[in-house]
Amino acid sequence: MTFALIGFAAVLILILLRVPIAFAMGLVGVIGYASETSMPASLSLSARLVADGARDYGLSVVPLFVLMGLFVNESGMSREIYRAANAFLGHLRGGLAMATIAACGLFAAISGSSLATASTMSRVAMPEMRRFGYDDALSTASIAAGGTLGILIPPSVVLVIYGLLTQSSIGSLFLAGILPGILGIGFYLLAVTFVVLRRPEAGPRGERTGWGDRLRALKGIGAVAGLFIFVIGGLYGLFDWEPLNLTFSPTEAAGMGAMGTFLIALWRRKLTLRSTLRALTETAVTTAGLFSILIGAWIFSNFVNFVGLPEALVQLITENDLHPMTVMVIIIAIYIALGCVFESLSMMVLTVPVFFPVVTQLGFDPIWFGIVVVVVTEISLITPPVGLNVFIMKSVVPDVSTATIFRGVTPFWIADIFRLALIVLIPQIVLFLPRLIN
Amino acid sequence: MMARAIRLAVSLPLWLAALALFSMMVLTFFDVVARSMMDAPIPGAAEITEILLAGIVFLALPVTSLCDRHISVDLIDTFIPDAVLRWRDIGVNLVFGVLLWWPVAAGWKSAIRTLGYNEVTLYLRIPVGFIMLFISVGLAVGATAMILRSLLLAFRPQLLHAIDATSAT
Amino acid sequence: ERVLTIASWAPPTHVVNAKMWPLMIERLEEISGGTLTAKVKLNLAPPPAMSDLVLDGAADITFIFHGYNSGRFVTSELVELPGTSGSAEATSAAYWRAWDKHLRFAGEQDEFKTLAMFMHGPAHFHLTEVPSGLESIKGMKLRAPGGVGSAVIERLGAIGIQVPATKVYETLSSGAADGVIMNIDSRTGFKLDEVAPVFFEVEGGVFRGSFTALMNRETWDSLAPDVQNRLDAEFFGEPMSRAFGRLWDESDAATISATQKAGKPMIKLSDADMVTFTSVAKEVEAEVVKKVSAKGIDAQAVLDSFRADSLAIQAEIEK
Ligand code: NA
Ligand code: NA
Repeated sequence: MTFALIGFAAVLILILLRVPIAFAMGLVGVIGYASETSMPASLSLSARLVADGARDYGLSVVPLFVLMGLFVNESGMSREIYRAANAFLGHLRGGLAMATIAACGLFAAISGSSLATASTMSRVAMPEMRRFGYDDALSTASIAAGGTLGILIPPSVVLVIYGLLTQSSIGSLFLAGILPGILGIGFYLLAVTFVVLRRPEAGPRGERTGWGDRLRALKGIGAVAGLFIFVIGGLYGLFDWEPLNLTFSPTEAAGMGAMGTFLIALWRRKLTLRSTLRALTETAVTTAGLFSILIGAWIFSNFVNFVGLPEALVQLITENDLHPMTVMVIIIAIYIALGCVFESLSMMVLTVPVFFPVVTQLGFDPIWFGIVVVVVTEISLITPPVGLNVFIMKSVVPDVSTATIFRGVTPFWIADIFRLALIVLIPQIVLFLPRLIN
Repeated sequence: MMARAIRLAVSLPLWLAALALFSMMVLTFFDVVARSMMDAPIPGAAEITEILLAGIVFLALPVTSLCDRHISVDLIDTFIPDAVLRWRDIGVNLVFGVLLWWPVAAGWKSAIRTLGYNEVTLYLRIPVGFIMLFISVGLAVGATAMILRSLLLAFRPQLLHAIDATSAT
Repeated sequence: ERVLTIASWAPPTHVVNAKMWPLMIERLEEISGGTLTAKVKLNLAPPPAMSDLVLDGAADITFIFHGYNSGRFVTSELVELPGTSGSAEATSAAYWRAWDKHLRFAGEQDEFKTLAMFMHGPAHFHLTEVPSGLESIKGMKLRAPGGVGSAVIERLGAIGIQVPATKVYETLSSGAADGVIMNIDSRTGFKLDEVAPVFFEVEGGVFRGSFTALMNRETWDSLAPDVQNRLDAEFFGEPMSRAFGRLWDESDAATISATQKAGKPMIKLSDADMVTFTSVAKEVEAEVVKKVSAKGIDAQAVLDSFRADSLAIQAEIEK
């Protein structure tokens, strides 16, 4: 156990020295495993993981969901979503920030990643909020926080990877994410309300939209709603009737969604050869980075597994006769602490193999735990000092300081903690939909 | 000129990666449609997807490495002088570019061994050893790209900025 | 006390992890007088990489399903053929004999110390809807593991769907496949009861999966000679193969009674359909015999003696 903890510390130090996360985990993993076996054995195992991890059929969803998000971007749908949300909420105090949250939630329904959600919505919503004189802290924070919904509301790359790691049903995980996602939107709207109640000047009212324009704007989200129903509906046999018989697995859903978005963008004449190539190469580069992390984390978690950390934890719990809820609170606290530094994917791949055996042994539902992990991962994306969504905002609006964004994020972070507490105390929020459908 | 040449050298595989990705999307679509409506799934579609996936990752890896698109954390960078940061980056890229050659060699060895076993994929009977060889080569090019980045950082930083700029999307 | 590492795969509750390894560890400790034990590590690498893991010393012991390394292990297809009778215990014991006397000389496992050759029981159809007979299989989208199983269902006119065993649940629940051929205890091991409730039984099975348990050669050579001798005499080889097969039988029986208790539809192939099935099986058999003969083995003779051994051992068990 001590050895594994030294390994974790070594990874942390390397990461702080700005060694790419993938290589930090890979190096410590190879050395750690070698010290238990031999260097040739450890290297050969790691090389094998490189060769096999990069051609795992289940992981093909990663590039396809990323690509889908970029095509959504090119197709102009993100603008339409925001316009629709704005038409209904913009006239309220803080309404543009509320519209941002709602638009992020809608965008999340067709995007598998939080970073894509944040970066896309920032390009659409940030100029608008600036135009109406919104406080930088509120506007950047609402995008950074709203963007985290991308991995909770299905489809979600992170949920797919949790499903692959724990052999849980990806279909159930997707269903389970819906209600907590809607709850998240609600809590974020409350956070915006709280901010503008304290400081009305932070979020002035926008223009009121008449009902005619509202209905016209609503039409704009037709394509988004259609895509969501197509991708998620296809998973649950919504189109399984003669002569269509269209059914697909979660792995295939990503390809179907990407193709559907591509066709919509093509039909709207929003794609050129150049922009298509840009979306494809950008996805490929991102994919190479994500797979490096996945493989590095796998190599590291093999070392942690080999030295028996999961068993040691289980033993620790049984020896001290800890209450399951106490253990869960400790696990969540560890996640929130790790979330300060780790990136979402590496955090999950590193911790789930360690905690999952403990959690299931204690009788917690694996699907429920998946959602808890994703919610704490969402929190990590906006937790200082390393919040990837905050960094994304920083790259879009370089003139706003990171400190300002983190200050703005605080009420949203607190809202997240409340949501997390609700999900832990009332598991039915997570499990209601999957149980209803199955 | 030099920047364009280097950029082109890493862009060619990247365009192939883009082609692999596009093929993967189209393949999934037609496989699902053909299976659902004609009861005629494309034989070995999942296997082709796996190979295309490896193609995407390892054809794009050189650009990801050369242009520093790996996910990393620049938490303490604000407190450190730029000159130190530069040498830190030179060091990190050089060290890991060199270290990666050990898994490359191990992967190559295991690929050759697998070729000797005549192991093939289940449906399309494609030699698994060839796929593993391709992956080893991809990793080797990625390692080279990191060493190249380190050298450029040390000796021709302007050139590297030019390459990074052309890769911005 | 020396602790060996077992690299395993399949879910933690699967019979291999829940019963077989614990049994082996117990026997290791007993026979070595407490100087030797082992611990199980799950999913260090994907299933097809498990043998390389042990070959390179990243783990000491593993088990593999031969079909996952297509082309590398060929002789195992012989025992997977339908048309063999006997429980998993009987076929596993007969398998060890056939391997020890003949198949090992094809050299496929020469780099390892082979601990056991074992098999799961007959694999049957698990379908989403009740079939009217064998002709219903025609046009169905079925998941098969490749090798003999795939060859048989393709000749029956089914469309092969290729997904890893761990994705079977998703594939069936989303309707992307109409069923699967797997051994009986997969109904619990992979939750098939929920997504493919109909149990469609083919007497003797559509195929029977071939497995082996392997040890790293250097690890084996490093054991004390008297421990080696005792392990070989008392456990490794036929006793272990047979014990693993028996555990699989017990798991199958538990699954069958659970399926009955849950009131899931259980259908048997009719006599007329059995005739059709047997003729298809014979075609596949001829192909496999030819393939294995190319490895320098009198495949037909080995197959015949394997089947005879299995029958004899089964009779002995039932006595
Ligand atoms: Na999403
Ligand atoms: Na963080």
